[in-house]
Amino acid sequence: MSAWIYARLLVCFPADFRARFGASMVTTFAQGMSSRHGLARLQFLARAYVGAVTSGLAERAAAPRTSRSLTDRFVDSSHDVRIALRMMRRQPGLSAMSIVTLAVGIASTASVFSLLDAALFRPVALPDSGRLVAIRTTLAGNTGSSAHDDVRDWIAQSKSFDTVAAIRAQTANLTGLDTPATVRGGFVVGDFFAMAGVAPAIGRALGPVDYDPASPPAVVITDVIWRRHFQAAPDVLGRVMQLNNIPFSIVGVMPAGFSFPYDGIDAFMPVRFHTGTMSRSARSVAAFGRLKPGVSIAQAQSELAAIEAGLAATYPATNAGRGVIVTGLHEWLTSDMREQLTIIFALVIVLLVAACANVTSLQIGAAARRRSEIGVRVALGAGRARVARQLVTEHLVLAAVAGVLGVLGARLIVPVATRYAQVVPSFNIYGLDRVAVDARVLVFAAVITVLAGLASGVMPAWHWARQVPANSLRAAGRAIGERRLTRTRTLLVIGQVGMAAVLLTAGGLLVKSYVAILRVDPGFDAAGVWSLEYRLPANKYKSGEAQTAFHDAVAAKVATIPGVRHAAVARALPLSGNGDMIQVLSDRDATNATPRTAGFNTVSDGFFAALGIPLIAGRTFNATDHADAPFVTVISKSLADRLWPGESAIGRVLAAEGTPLRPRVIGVVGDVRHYRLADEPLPMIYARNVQNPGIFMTVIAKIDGDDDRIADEIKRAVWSLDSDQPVWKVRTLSSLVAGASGTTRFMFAALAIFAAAAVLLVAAGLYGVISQGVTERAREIGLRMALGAERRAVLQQVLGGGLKLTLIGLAIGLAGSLAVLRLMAGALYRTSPFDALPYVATAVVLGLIAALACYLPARRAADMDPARVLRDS
Amino acid sequence: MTQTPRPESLLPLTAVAFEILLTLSDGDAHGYHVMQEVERRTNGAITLHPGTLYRALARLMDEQLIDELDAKPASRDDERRRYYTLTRLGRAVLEAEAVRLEHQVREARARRLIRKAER
Repeated sequence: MSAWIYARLLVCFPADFRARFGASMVTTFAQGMSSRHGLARLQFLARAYVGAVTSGLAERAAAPRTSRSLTDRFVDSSHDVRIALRMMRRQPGLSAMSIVTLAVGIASTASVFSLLDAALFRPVALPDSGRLVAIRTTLAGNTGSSAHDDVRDWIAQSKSFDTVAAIRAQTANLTGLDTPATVRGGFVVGDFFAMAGVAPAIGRALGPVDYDPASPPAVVITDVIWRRHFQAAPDVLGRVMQLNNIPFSIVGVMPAGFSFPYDGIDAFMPVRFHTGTMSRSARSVAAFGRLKPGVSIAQAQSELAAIEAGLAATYPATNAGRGVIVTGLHEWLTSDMREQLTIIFALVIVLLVAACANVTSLQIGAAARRRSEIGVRVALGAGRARVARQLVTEHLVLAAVAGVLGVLGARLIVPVATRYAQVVPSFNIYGLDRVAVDARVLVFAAVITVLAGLASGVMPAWHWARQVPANSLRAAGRAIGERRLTRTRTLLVIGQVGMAAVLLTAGGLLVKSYVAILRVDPGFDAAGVWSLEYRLPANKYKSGEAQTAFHDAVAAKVATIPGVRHAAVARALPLSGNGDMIQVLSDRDATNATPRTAGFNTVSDGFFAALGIPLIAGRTFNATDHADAPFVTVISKSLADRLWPGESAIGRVLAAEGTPLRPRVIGVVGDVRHYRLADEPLPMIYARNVQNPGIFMTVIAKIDGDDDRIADEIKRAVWSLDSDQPVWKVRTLSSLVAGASGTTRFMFAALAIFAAAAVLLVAAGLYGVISQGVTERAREIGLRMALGAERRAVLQQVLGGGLKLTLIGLAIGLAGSLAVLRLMAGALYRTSPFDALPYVATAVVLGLIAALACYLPARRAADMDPARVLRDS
Repeated sequence: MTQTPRPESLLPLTAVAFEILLTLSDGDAHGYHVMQEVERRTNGAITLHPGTLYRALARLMDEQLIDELDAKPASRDDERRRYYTLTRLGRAVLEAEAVRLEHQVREARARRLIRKAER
């Protein structure tokens, strides 16, 4: 692709030169690209692209070649620049308008590029990260974490990898300090740090010795924790950290900035200290691998698939149907935003092109004033190529000023935009912390600046180079070329209206999609719902009875807080990111039927009332479903419909894969969106907490109205039962709902800005063209008015001319949108890319803007004094 | 144009031209090799892109200082590459330029602008 562009840029060279060297130059360029990497490659690309244009033009200008030295040409160039600056000063309004237009385009493009660069182009900041892969397990179309025992077998059997390792993130209680706190724990399997390729800055990594159940508990902490809790003490090794009530000895401190595979893991511990069970049935760890040099992802994938097939044969009860997907780490980290960022980038390029078209038409419009000046220079013997070069130089100088302003603009926009992106809850763009207007962005900005200068300048230059000197010298009257200029400008305005139409329609579609997400019925009522999470230390609350007793006591305590209408506890609050998945079969499915994936939640009696989830059939949990009673379940409507279509689910029995449990269905409730608003509702199975005890819990309180003080009251309720118990994530369900639409909101904000800029460009372009037309035709209009034409007729004629251009541009733009915007279908939620409303809205908005832009010059035409116009001309 | 000019009449050479001739004095080379070699030898002080490189090559060919090779060197078999070779005039000009530069350096050294090269 880059070589293809390079070959196109060679048109700047004279044809004979191109015929002689073109192929060699492209080959040399391709070799230069393939032997460079990273920043050096980008620099080479920029230098070669810019060089192709400048050398090409210089080669054209250098005729006959032998008589001119490089010095002469340099003198010519600086002379061109001086003339360009003089011209800019002579037409300050025009220059300012052109510069601002290009600067807006360059600033937007550079800003978006900086985001794209940080997220998609730059490799993960780990040694030799190209060899790192994410390994995920698939089952019945659902891709996710892997089973601990499977990972152990991959480590033992695979040959494609230097290392395979896995991690399970889980919050751990940190005690022994003044106030109970939590850290985000990473429970690792295998040689995790060797796989990441990063050694601790102090001490050692976790090794095989730490995985031996007989060895003392060891923890590796991050630089952040080392500074926060140990004041960066150099003698931190060997100190004790009380995690989940287990005394861990600190054996290592990771270097600052280490955040693999997720941000915010504070302490790494061997997986044997994880509070959940690690088995072959539970898919609970995220696996990664470092490929051996020279091994491809496809090879690793087929090897692991073979190993996994062997496991399925050996352990059919747990592993039947499981597969493996190996993905490059960078691709895995960025998969969910690749498409959206690409769309934004494509749209901002459209904006930049529209800006260039605008500048071209502005400059052509002003060209009438240049006619005699250029004519003089041609008559005095300046070659046409020389004149063309002069004009291109003028545009390059304009673009250079705009480029500087654009980069300054980007430096203002980017920090604001990233700060905004960071405060949007659960909005996560990979690499957001390293977005910056740095050298790479500067190089990119330089390239687009030059391209913008050339793109906007080539057409006027080409036109003037073809001018006949005699015509140009005629000061009055219409030169032959003028009609062509006006036509060119007309086409440019039509093009701009078209591009703005595409941008506006794209924006409209995204707005519609955003509204659709906001309107999604999540299946629960988030108003007034507060929550917090905690995890009991398993060695303090050893039995299931003790754990359940504590949770129920918390729920009862919270219920007594004034203003609380409902109180409950649950393993997972919708949209909190918590949740378990299990595979279920109905009682009438044959034993070899494909299981269905369902969410699994454990709740207390008040859960459905607190979240406003409606009961559809049967009953919800009550005290008769005690620990020793038969195991019962409440399921969601979509699961009932799938397992027992057209029948009542009440009284039926479920089989959950990997467990001996056979719960009987006592009730059916409404569906909820558990993980994402845009997903279809997840079929859910609920168990009562006394029948499925656990140490992790979310406290839920539904209050009337809106009172932040409730947060402290809920915390105090927990602490009144156990003052050592850390709690975290005190938040409202509404904030989770808002966060779930965060990415769309970011897209929406970005597009709103681009669309507004595009509309301004169109308005300026139309105004310029119509206004110019009025000036050129002042004599004709004056004559007609002198001959009795009415003011209204003049107004109508000028306005009509502008609106005609707008209509043509709109027709082209809307047709183009229909063709192009289907590519956005993946980024839209419940909105067809052919939805009529955004198209209609675009037509109306652009129509109104165009009418306004044309009305001002039209009124000026109508208000002309015929006598004066005729006298002046 | 068939008449061979005196080497001194083509001096001074531009820095780029000098570096290209210097590279070719080691043996025939294709364009990319010249580009890499110049960048390596000057430690990046002179960086070429294909545009400057081929313009300079064209000029050197016009001045008959280098020639395009009809037959590719046997050891290399890339069809797309053209090889360039130093002409007899080219070598003479390169030598003359080197002498001229050496003279200049000697003058500079005599004024203690630079210290004697350590060899």
